[in-house]
Amino acid sequence: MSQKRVLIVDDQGELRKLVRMTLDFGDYELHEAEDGQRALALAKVIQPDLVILDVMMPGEVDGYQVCEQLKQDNSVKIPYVMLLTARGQKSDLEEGERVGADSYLVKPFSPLELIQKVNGALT
Amino acid sequence: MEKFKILIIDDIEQNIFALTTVLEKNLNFKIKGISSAIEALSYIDQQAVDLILCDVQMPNMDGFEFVSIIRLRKKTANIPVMFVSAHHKEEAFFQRARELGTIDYIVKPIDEEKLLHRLNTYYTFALREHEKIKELDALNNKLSLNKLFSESLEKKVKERTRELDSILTLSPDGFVLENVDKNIIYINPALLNMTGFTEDKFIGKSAEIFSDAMASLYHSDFMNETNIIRNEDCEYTIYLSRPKLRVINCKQRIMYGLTGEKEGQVLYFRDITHEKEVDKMKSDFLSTAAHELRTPLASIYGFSELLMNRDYDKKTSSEIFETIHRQSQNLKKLLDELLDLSRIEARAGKDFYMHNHSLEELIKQSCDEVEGAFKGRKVDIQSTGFWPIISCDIDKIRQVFNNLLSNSFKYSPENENVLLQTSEREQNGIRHFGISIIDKGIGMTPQQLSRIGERFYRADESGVTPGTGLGVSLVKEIVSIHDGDVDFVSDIGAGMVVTVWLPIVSN
Repeated sequence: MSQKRVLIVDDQGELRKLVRMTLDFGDYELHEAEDGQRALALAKVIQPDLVILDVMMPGEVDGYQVCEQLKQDNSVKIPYVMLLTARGQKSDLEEGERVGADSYLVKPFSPLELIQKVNGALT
Repeated sequence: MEKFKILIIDDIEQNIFALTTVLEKNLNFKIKGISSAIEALSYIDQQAVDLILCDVQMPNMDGFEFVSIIRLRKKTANIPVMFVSAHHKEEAFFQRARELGTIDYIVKPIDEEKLLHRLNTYYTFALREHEKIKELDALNNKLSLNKLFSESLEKKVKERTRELDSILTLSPDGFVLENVDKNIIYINPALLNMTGFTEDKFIGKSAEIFSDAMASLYHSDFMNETNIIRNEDCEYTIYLSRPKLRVINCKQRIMYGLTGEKEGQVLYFRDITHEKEVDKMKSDFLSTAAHELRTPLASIYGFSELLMNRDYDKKTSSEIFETIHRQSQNLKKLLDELLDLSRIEARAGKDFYMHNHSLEELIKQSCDEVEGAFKGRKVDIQSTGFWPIISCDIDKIRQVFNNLLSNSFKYSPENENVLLQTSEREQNGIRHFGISIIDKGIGMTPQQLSRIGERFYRADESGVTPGTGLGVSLVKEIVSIHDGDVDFVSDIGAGMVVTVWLPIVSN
């Protein structure tokens, strides 16, 4: 069985490193992108099974927009999208629902919980 | 009425006595007899008399002479006089008596009954006159009281109108008054200012015209209903797009008269644009602050949990420890700066300890501190040789230069030094000393430059360059409390020149 591909999208290098270290136990093939545009470009190439996506990112495309495009773009295998947000407010959750996100993780998050969620989504 | 005072003038005492006896029958009469016309003149000068019975034929001064004289004196001119005489019954006599204004003429021997009857008649007549005069006086008093009262009322109304007028003219809030016929009767200057309307366009016109004019200013994104004037007390928010974006709180109150009938309506407009902006800024600031705090916290929380649950080799675990420590420091710095900023804002410099300091010493200390933190790099000072004394809170100003110097090092290439230059300017008669910090770093686009000093704004959003996004905000706040200001000049790739201007106390 081939390894599932996980794309980690966050503008903060340290956060990407944290997610990578959390999930780096051999089951997954991990990829990183530091902004929305790079994430969309990379997704086309690697066709990820799951995307961990920071919502608040600088640049042209924020996390919600990335999610919306991933869920609509037929050329990409539609991945499972887990939004990483610093807030857990109702308006954020509603926006996530609107763009078709599958689940949320609120910063600061527990790495163990992240593993559980990712495992749950990919099996 | 007091007693009716009758004066009898006759040179013959027996006549006086006889007349007095007759007249005393009327208890309302008070009789006084004088036997000489000359004496009588001085008497009536001092005493009030209601009627005079005067003999005509008298030595020294006769009745005609007497009456002529009293008619000339203002005080006595109107006393009714009745002649008493046995003689002079010719027409010429009566003619003369009438010319003198005597009221009657009695011929001796006196018919007691007739005399008494006549005098009673005069008395009744005088009494009635007296009552009438009293009534007239009372009426006059009342009238003049009424006049005074209405004058004072009028004065009060005018005063009150002036007060109201001043209040409405000075009020920053808009007022529009509408009468019961739904015509506009008043618009205050604040409303004209708010809307750009001119008063004469609406005064005396229908409220609908005003309502339509308001509707033409509405922001169509927020306003569906265009008719603002309702026939009930109400409160709502209106959004204007012209003459500029405004949020306005509008209240309407119906005015009622004393008997409860509708007299008109007041429309009240309060510009709450600024309050709304401040509210939004505060909530934006809070949510951004919370977000910024979560970012380092996420690292600390996550990495420490990993450390507890997994076995890492020594190298990896010490890297993780380093990350946790660094992020804790970030968190601490963020909290410190947040607290500094809110304290400075809230206290507006009240807890600044201002003393005179030599700027040279202060700048050199800052350079040493920052050079220590960025090992191997230097601040090159290019001074005119002149360093002023400035009044400042030394710790806060040191924080300003530490912040700006660290930024310059952080945003410029590793091998580049930072340049510090001094200058002077005069503005509004106040001499300012300028300290420019010049780096050869990444610089900023005009767009980035316009956002500098904004809370949490980072030119490098990737998080590669450490910082909180609050440093420059703090610098600006601190310098402004020192009555100075900060200039930023830059272009992309062209480095950055930050100049702090502080007022000079002395050389």
